[in-house]
Amino acid sequence: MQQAFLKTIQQHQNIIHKVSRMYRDTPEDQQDLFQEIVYQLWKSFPGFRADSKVSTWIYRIALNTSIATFRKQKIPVEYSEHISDKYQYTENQDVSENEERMYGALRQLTDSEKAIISLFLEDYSYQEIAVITGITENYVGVKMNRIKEKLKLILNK
Amino acid sequence: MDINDLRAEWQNAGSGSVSEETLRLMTKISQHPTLKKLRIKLILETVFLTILLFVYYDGFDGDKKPLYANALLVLSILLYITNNVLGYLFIKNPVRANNISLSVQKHLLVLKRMSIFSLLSSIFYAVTLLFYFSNSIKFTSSKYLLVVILVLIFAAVFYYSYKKWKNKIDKFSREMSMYIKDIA
Repeated sequence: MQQAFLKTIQQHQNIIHKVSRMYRDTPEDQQDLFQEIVYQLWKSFPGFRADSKVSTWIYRIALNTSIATFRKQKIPVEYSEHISDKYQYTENQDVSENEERMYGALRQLTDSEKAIISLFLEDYSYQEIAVITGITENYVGVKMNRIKEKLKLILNK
Repeated sequence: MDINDLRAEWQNAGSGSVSEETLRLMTKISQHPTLKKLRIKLILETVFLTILLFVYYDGFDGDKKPLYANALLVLSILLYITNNVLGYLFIKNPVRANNISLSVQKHLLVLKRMSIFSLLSSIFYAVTLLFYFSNSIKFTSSKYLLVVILVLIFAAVFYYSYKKWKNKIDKFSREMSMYIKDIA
């Protein structure tokens, strides 16, 4: 079972990278969140039913974990403290200016707005977003209009 | 940059690569960023408090005190340990339902209950400690001094621990309440 899990996560790890970068500001916190999400996915893997999309399951757990886990106090953290040489988390350092700008804008949204916009940007329908987030489809529409306005203001600053 | 540019950017982002071996390590509690430390703390505190129970019994005439005084002391220490275990389980299980809103609401409810339990168990512990030491003990001046010092040390440790825990809970509770308010 673990092998199947690892293969699945490796194929879809870009989702976890994106969610971690959107919800946390520093590389250390992003790495901790990445690790936390993988741990939560592993715990929920036995209950994952193949009738839903893998990416939907990963998004649900990743977003839920990002919102409902303690944020560290704003103190410097020793990055290498619990990561051994063989335990490397490597994020692509060659991040474009546009990508930085995107994360910068997304980080200014609230937790719920981040969840909704990430699913929207991944091409989920309002109905699917409603199921994952637990709000009504109509309200997803209302929220999306507000988020788009907010992002326009942020990006045009 | 408009919403379509954002969409294209989002779909191309997240190109980090974590090896299968690293992912495998990430599934273990021993590599978990917070649970690992919490688990060590939990084990150390439990061992320390158990040793303390035996020391109390011999050092402060536990055998000459009424059974209920000893039972209350043991109960208060067990409650303290239970409180720590609940905190550990809380952090270990942030996903509680199949949709995010319900999960966050349930998580917040657990947190509020835990916060009350934490407060009550701390008060119970402090009161029991005072009660135990002042119950049927033949006080000498050195025992008075020792009791006062011990009570002060424990009161300070537990107050600090409670305060730290409460600050964390309050901050977290505010964040989750904000999420729930935001989607209501």
